[in-house]
Amino acid sequence: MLKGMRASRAFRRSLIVVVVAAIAGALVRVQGKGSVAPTIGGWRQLSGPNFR
Amino acid sequence: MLVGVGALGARAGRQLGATPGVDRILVADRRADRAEALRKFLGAKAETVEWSARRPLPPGVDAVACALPAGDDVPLVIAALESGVPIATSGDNQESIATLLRLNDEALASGVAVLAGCGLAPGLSDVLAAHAATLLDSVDEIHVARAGVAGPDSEASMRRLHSERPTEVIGGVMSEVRRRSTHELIWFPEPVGDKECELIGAGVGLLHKSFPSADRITMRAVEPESRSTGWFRRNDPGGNWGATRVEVWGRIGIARVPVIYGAVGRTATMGGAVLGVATALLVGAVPEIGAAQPGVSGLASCVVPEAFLAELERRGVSAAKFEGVPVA
Repeated sequence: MLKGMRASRAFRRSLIVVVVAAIAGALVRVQGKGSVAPTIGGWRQLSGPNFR
Repeated sequence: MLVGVGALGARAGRQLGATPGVDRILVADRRADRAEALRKFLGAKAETVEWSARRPLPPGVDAVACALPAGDDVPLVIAALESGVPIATSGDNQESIATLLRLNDEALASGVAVLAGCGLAPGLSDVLAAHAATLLDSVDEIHVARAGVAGPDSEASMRRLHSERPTEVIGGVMSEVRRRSTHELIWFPEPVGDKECELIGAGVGLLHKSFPSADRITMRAVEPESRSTGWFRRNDPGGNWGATRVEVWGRIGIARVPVIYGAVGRTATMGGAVLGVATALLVGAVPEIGAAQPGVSGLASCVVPEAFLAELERRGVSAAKFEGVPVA
């Protein structure tokens, strides 16, 4: 009986940890979205008049 | 008046000689033979003069181009301020640029424009940062990288920069950071390609003054090769390839985007062209490229980027844009 309660408590704790980690991961993913420097590509020589 | 006719100064002199509106060039160098060689190249437009830090500037000078070794430019800037003559200097020494920025009040009081860091980086990199900023609604971060040295003095300066504690702007504040392992692999335009760069502090203060809203500003550079391999290298480091890469982050609407510009060429040629054109700006020989206001500043504060880049392109220095795909 005691053994079963301990297992149930451990399960609840691990469930809380998983939920908190999922929320934190989701927050980081949403907040940090869309700011990745280009890493694949090439250089194009600029020419006038706008040099863009 | 051109002071310092080393690898970069000689190229700046040639650029000034090819600038319409520049009638006369006084050439000064501690080595008379180098000054005489440039005078001969420039012909009737040029004249050699003797000048030292203890002497006042010769009369009738409209602007000074300083290509002295890093750190030696401060006495010349002070002499220019005392004579009321605007000056552009190519020095990239962290300490001397900081000293020049501290002379801002004196420059404002005497109504003299001092353009600091007019070389490859700082210099052309500032122009490219200003150009990138025109594409953005606001600027958050600027990351500059540089490869190459203009000559032996420039190489010594770069070596010193790598031994000093670098500064960077963090959270909008200039901060001295610990010299830790700051290596980063940077992709410059070809043929320089990818090089490992380390944090240095040169030019960060100038960019901070030009872009006070930027939260983060860093400057990185390739460390010169070890002296022990000097036997195997070319005798003229200024003939080597150099490059700069400027990554500017900012917002367009709500989107945060990077703009990446660069340039590649012979280091001394690019630096000399930038110093020559900056001096032409000071004398008003090419009015469309910008106008310098009294005070000490970098090129980003006073140029019209497109016009400045067009003037450089006419002189053989081209800019490039990195067009890439973000990969997470």
